[in-house]
Amino acid sequence: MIGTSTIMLATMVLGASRRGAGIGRLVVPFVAMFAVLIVGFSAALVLPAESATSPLWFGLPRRAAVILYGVGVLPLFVLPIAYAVTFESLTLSDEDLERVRAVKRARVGA
Amino acid sequence: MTQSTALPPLAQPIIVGVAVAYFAVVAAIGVWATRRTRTASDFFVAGQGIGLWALAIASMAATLSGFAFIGGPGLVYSVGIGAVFIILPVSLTNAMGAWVLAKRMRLLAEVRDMITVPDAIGARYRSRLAQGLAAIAILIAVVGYMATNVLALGLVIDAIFGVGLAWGIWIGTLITLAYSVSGGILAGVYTDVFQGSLMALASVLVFVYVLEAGSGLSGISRTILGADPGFLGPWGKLTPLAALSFFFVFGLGSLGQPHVVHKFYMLRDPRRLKWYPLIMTTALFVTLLLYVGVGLAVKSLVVTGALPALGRADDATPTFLLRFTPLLLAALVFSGVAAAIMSTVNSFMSIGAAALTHDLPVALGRRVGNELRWGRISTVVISVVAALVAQASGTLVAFLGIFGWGLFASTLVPALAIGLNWQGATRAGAVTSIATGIVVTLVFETLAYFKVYTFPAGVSVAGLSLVASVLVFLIVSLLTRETEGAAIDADIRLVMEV
Repeated sequence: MIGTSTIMLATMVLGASRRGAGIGRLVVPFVAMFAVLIVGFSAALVLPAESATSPLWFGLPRRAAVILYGVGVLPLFVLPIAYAVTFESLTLSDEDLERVRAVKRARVGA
Repeated sequence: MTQSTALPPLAQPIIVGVAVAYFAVVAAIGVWATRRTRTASDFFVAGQGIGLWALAIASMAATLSGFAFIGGPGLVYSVGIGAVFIILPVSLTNAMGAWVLAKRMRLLAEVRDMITVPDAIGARYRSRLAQGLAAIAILIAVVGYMATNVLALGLVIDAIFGVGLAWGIWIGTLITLAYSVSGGILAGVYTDVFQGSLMALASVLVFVYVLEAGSGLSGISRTILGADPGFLGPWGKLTPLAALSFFFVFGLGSLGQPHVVHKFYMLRDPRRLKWYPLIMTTALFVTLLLYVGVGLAVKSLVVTGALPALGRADDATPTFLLRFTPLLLAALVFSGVAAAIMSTVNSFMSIGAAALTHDLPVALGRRVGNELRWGRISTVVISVVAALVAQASGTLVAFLGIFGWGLFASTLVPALAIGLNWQGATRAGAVTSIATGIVVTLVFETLAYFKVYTFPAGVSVAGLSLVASVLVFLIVSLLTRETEGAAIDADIRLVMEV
């Protein structure tokens, strides 16, 4: 559980890291999502089993709701939006793209 | 994962009519794309000219095979919430893929005019051997994975038109082949957009009927909890280890699926990647409502006696559709199933043909004279081989499908996904990890298939081979780092650093 969550988030950090600049503001959503995974899986393991009369959370038994809505749905609203919001500053700016295209022009010219 | 057991007969006029209309639209898109396919770049990477929405919806359609509509709901019906762990990583994988691969793959296409995934590996490590090994792994996996999908397509066509399984396989192969061989990936992408939209629409509409038939999600849960509380436990009928193993394999393994990764090359403007994860994740989420909803609803309906217990779990979707939705919607979904399978098969045809026509000759130090013509010929050859394999026994074909998915993951995740983000990765690390992925997957899947050795519950060969190849990649790279420290071309290094 901890290993799976760590590997997934570590892979994201590896992809998002910029040489010499780290992951910047992305540390917030990444830490939050790591916590969601750990808390979600842990809750599924430690919470008591439900019975026929147990309360439902948004139509599902508590532990299933934690897995489906917490692990399955919550990151959907956080990670893609974090990616979009930080795209120009942390992923690909116009200057980055121009540097890459300049290398190609130099390569073709040579 | 794919569907491999027979479906109930669906040969009703409305279903047949909608299916014919669907195939006609696919054919029309194929004709349109054929007129625009003039070069190998058009054929393999759509001339690097597709937009963001087309990229996202086509990637979604290629990601989901018929399993999402038939096998998946059946698995939910069988094992409960545990089956959701196969699709649960979707909330993470598209953003992860965007950070890890999307930008770098697209920028590689910017500096080197790349057309295949092994191209990226060859350029990253300056190694024709690594490129060739990756191409061999892809080729083996493509044939196996295509065979399972073609078999599933044959089952759907047989169920709709009543032509028999063997003819269903050939008809499905020929239809997909017709637009793939003429219009290449350009036809594939735009048929994927149509097919993906159809899949998403059908899934949402079916989910509305799921809620109506089960008296809402609360009604479904109450009914199931009264009879079988464990079914709605967080792991369903699976062990926590098995469920988490699904999450790991389908999460991290998603980075090694070349039919999806390859599409990053095709985007017209790399800056448009900004919204890719949001569109792709939302599209997948919407389309997978059917996967979860139908499985739970059918279980609930069986508990209440509204449906008899199913003889086969894979009958969950057809049974629900024919009993609880309008026939026109059922017809749309059955076309959606065919759409899901065809979009996946088309992508495999393209990457398989590219491996055969482009990567293997490059690995041998040669180039094919006319890659467009040979690409078309290779597409036919690979498709015929896959269709012939699909005629074999169901268990063999299912084995090849599992083998293919695991092979993609174990051979491409380390060398491609990690390697494009870690300058410490070395050529020796890449070559040994790809070889490890091929050997471990082949040996242990074969041992498991012949029941010589069975893994403990919850441990899969795909997971084992993925872990083994990643470890080998890291260890060998660290051991050979000093001798290969400068072995990255300047343009590739720039792509890895921006």
